[in-house]
Amino acid sequence: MDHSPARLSSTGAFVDRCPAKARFALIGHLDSWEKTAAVVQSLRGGLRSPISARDVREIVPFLPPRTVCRVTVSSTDGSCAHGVYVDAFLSPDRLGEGSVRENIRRIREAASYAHREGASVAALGGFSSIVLEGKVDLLPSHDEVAFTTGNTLTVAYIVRAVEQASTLGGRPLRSQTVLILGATGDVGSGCARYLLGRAGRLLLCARNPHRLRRLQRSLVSDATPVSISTEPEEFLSEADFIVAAASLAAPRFSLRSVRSDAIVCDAGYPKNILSDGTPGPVVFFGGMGQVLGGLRLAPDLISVLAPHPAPNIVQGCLLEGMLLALEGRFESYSRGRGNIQPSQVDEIWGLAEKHGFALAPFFNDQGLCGDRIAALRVESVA
Amino acid sequence: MEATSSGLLQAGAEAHRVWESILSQSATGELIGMMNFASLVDLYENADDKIEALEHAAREKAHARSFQRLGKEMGLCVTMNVNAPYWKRIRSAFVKSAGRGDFTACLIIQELMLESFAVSMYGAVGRVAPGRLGKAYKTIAAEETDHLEHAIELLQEIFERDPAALQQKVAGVHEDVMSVLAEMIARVDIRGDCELCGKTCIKPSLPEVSLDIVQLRGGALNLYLKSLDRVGLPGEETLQWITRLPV
Repeated sequence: MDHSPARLSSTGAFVDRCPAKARFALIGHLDSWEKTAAVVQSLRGGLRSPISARDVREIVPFLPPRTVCRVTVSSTDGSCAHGVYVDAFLSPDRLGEGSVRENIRRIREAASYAHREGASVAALGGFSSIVLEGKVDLLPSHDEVAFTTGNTLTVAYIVRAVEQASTLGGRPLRSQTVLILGATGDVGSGCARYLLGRAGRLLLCARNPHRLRRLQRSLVSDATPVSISTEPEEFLSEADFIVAAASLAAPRFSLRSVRSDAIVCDAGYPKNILSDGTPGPVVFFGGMGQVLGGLRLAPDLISVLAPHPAPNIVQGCLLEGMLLALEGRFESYSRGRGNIQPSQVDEIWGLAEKHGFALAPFFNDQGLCGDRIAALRVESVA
Repeated sequence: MEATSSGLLQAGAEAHRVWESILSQSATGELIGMMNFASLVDLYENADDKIEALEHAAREKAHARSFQRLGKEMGLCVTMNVNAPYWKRIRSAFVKSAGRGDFTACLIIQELMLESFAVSMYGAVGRVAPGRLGKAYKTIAAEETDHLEHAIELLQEIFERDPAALQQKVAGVHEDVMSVLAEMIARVDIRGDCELCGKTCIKPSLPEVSLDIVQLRGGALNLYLKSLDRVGLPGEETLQWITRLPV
């Protein structure tokens, strides 16, 4: 069976088998100026003089949200879908509370741009999902576009990674203590619900004590005791697994007091975990999937937009938009905060498997790191 | 006059020099606009279109005169120099297009590119300029907005007829004209003396009058991109055009 999404004509031209109209939009933003500069330089082309970091910082914040590239995603079942990546051009160093109004304005503009592109479903990646999580009415009302935060698939990738890491590391999950940072967020609470009854113990940490207590009350299980705290330090040394899923403008959590044999899943965008270069527990980037059927960007920015150590790795939130498009399900699959149920996680995971949206290999900013997790098994056996 | 001059009297010598330069750039730009619209008279076949082009030219002349007069009232020396290097290159690009009888290219240069910049920058200057000067900038910005809106409507129609052809044309004109405008509004002088600033470039002194070249450049590029979006051009193309401009 030919699984290629497209083929070359006799003249070498690219011939798509899918209709040209965009069906999904991926609304996102970059989380560092370095990545932003790399994208700008790539678009600028090699023949022109390099653009300075200062010019990038001075010009990019003025760019109106727009399509950066066209995306074709291929399923392993032979189907494919077209879409666009729309960047909201949020300034990486202005993701904090002081810039909320400006960022929401840009996300709204990006949402309108997705509509203009003819998208039927739009996934809101990274900070852009805050609009759909808490302030749905702030999105422009375009009945033709279904907006999804993509958080359900993100949760699916995180919990699958935790399960896989526990197997790889030789630690049955039912005996493990899992700490979730940012537990009352949409992703964090979705992970907590899923891991209830599967993990040995859950430690939930978030800033808002009222939300935290409410979440704890909703999580009742004989198999999994649940403890809460607003102070990460209180739990860090007890955790076998840490899922960092807080909405932070910049990395904030130090791992100094974390056990060296712990496994940390940093699922934040921007990242949650401070990297101080000292040896410590294994940290992998979670919530990520890999498109086995293939992913094509025009212009080809994949190496700068997704500079990962394995091909076609994308954030789960964005993959959810592509998945819904492949399924022809133009619906707000993930919407609001705290609504992600285990049954939905299982359903979206089933769809991901159907289309070859596999769990990404374990990796971090140093490269692939699955062998470090496997080494923990050897150490524990020894 | 009173509000204008009293505001400026409080300013220092460097601020005077900045206002002189801003007015000189504005007046010269309007004069270029006048010449461009006058060139269109020959291009049009329809009498009504010829008359309208002349009326546009007359309005641009009036804007230039207005800037000159306001400057004079404030004791400033406003230079109008259509041979200043940057403006000369822009005018040459327009003349080249007019010579080919390329009405669409002329429309893109004058009413889309130059007016996008004029609307954005006049708006910014109007917000900080004192008294009558500020009012004049705001009024002229509003008039130029009408030109821009008119051009967008026309270009939308042209785009609907043949998207690929218009995209190719705008790309070519962008390379010729926006490169010059980008050099003009770069943070530093890329090509040396603009011949409208006097001894040295006034860009570093813009904060003297509560302006900033980064904000001016950003605002102008933002409006230009939004105008291209409204015409219907694909965002990923126009983004590439912008990233390839001189900085």
